[in-house]
Amino acid sequence: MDGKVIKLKGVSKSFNNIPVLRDINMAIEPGKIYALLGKNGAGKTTIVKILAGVYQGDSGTICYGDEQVSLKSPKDARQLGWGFVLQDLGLFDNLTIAENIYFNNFPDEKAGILNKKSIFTNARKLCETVGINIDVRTKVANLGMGQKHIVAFLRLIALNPKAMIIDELSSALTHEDTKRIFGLIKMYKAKGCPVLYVTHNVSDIYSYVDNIIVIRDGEVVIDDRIENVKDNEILISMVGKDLRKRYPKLVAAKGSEVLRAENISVPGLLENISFALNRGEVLGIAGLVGSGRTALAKVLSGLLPGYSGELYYNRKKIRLRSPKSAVKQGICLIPDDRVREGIFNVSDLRLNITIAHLNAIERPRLNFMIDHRQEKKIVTEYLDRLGVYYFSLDQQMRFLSSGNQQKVLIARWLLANANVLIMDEPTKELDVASKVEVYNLINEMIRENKAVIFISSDFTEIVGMSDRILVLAAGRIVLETDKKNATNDLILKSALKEVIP
Amino acid sequence: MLKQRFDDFYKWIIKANIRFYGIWIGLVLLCLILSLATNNFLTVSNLTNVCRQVSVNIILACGMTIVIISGGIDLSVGSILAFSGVLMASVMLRYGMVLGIVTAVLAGAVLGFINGMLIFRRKSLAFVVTLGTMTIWRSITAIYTGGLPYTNFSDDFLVIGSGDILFIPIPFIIAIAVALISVFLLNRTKYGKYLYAIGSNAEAARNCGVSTNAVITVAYTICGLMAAIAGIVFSSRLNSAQSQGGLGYEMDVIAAVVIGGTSLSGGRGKISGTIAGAFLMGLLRNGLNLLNVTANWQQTVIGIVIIAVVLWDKGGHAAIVKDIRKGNTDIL
Repeated sequence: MDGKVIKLKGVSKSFNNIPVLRDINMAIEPGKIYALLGKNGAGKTTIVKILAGVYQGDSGTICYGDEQVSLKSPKDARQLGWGFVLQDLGLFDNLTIAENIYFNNFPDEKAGILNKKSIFTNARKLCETVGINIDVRTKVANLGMGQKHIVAFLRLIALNPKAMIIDELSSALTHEDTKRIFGLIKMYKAKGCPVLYVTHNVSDIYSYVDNIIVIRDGEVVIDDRIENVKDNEILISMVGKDLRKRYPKLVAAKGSEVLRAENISVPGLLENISFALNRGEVLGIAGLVGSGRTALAKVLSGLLPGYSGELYYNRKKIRLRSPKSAVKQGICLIPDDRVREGIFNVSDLRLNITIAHLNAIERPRLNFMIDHRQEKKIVTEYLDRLGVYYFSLDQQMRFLSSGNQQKVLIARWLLANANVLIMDEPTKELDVASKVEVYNLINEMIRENKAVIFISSDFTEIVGMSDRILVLAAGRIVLETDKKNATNDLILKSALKEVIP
Repeated sequence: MLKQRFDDFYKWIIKANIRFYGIWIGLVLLCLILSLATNNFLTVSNLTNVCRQVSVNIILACGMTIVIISGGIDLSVGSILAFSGVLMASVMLRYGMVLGIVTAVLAGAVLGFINGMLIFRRKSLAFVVTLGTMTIWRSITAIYTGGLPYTNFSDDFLVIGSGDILFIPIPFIIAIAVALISVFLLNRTKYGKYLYAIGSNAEAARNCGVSTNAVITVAYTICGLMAAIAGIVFSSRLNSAQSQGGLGYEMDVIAAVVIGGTSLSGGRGKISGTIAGAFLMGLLRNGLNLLNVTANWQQTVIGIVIIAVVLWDKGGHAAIVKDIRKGNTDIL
């Protein structure tokens, strides 16, 4: 058995002055499978990307064996023989499974000319070893999420890697597939490969790993053999103490029913979702990636018009065919990918705040024109009210910090008289101070008799900030509970219910 | 904290605004250099001539600026120019000047509308769609005219292209009017806000309840309408309306828009910049003419200027892409 140890020494990384990794020291020894755990935002993916050469650490070194290595680009990592499966998979939808598996690693390639037949034959053989039965000539675009993950894994195997670093693979797979995949991983482990397996819940791979490393807030908090670590200890170390008491959640008077969903279904995404929401309430929606949370948010905000089931707004039946119809009613969405779907990056603060409700700044008699004085007044008013740090109304949105950007998005919907504000991962990438400010804004909204739907992967946060909680798994509601009875553990176990049959 | 504030401020100054003011500095410098290098440059007759020459480009470029701000592009403006010029001439022959002009303008709007409908909210298709319509409109025009030009227009009509009001060429007055209307539309109306929003992030705009399809279609309609106005001025100046009119003009139009600081990826742009861009090219051509530089070398110089401006542009598309790649807008 031969293999070299991968060591991270003193690695730190910040983005836009927000520290994401603080002095990370880790050793991944050959012939062992390490589970790297941590909740969303803890820094796991950043570590993976640094090892993959996508990012470079601001400080610290990486050693492979006895030598220090410099990973300035993914090519460097690949030349060391390291194989990766990253969170966004990096597959080519328009190419076939076989072509994806052997991409840039083509068998029998002669001077740049490909041997198509051998690509398909080898791919077929590889699939058989894992027990996968798909035609390797299928285009990846036609595969389901789980199958895509398997293809990404096979691509890693095809490299015959000397080290494996895998980010979030099993949450998309069935129990059977996970077993098969770990069968292959164990073969490479026996050959001396160091294996780093990143996940944010450990239950599904508990029996396969040797060691556990837990990251919280950019620091290593546990690094030990799995036998020495107790189950609940892992959970607590991932999320810190039970912070429920630290969340500034205000309980407001419950008003009339503002939104009701009955048997909302979208084929392949949601199944029979029913719930009711009252004014003054915060409804938390928890669930793992792929559980249907974002699909539900999209249905409620008009982005998925092809749903079946009924929606009632203020007890009147409505049909949401487009975002415009949702916004008109007052149902507004702050998407989780706020940079790509929420923010007008190159536009100024004025536009970003007023765009959803230009009527607020229209000229009294000529409605199609803008009243610039009114615009300045209102925009300044909202920016000050939310405590956004800016130096000019004309500055581009992209120069604001994430926290301030999020506040501007909230300001946009406050101005637009949102009655139901759906917030998908509102505190993602935010520092602690900004998180608290967002929580306070939520309090303000429910004090003003609005309702908030709060979607998050952070179970502690959901438990801390919601009045009621829905847990989704595989497109269905698996648990409905209220704040009093909810604990992190309960939610985590329910969220995993569909993953483990 | 103070240093942070200063850094941000500095970034803002450089990235947001210098691209729009830098062009005017360049223009002034150019005029200085040219007036020193030649005798005739800084004369009233020469400068008013330049104004007359850039007018058609400015009219086309205003429509193009609107479309580019929305995140699209319209390659068919030259063809719409030819089509409406010929249609106008044909109608004018039988039914008089006024009806001719009105028909031409309406036709431009209709062609633009067709562009918008074909693109239907998917701004990424703009290039291919307008490439197609560019060929279609011009070939239809060629079929209609059989390759022969309309000419010998009435003196009343020729005044449009060759006349002056108080020393200011009429084409230039029309160009300024079109520019002012565009400025009004972009800066002072709700529509303008929607346009900038869609150009900046079409998906986010849709999420905010903006009717992206309607706004984009209107943008292309306006562009077509302005191309028709350009066609009328063009035909009047040349006393000729033919299917070859405006051939290749879209390149100069896009050049003016880009030099003027408008980002090709949408969401940012100013008419004033476009006018400055049009003048930069017009003055450059004029100066090189006076210096007896051949037309081919003139094109080389203009090409170099375009590349220089785009590369130096710190707030533009290239700079934004670099920021995103460096990881400045995605964390974990």
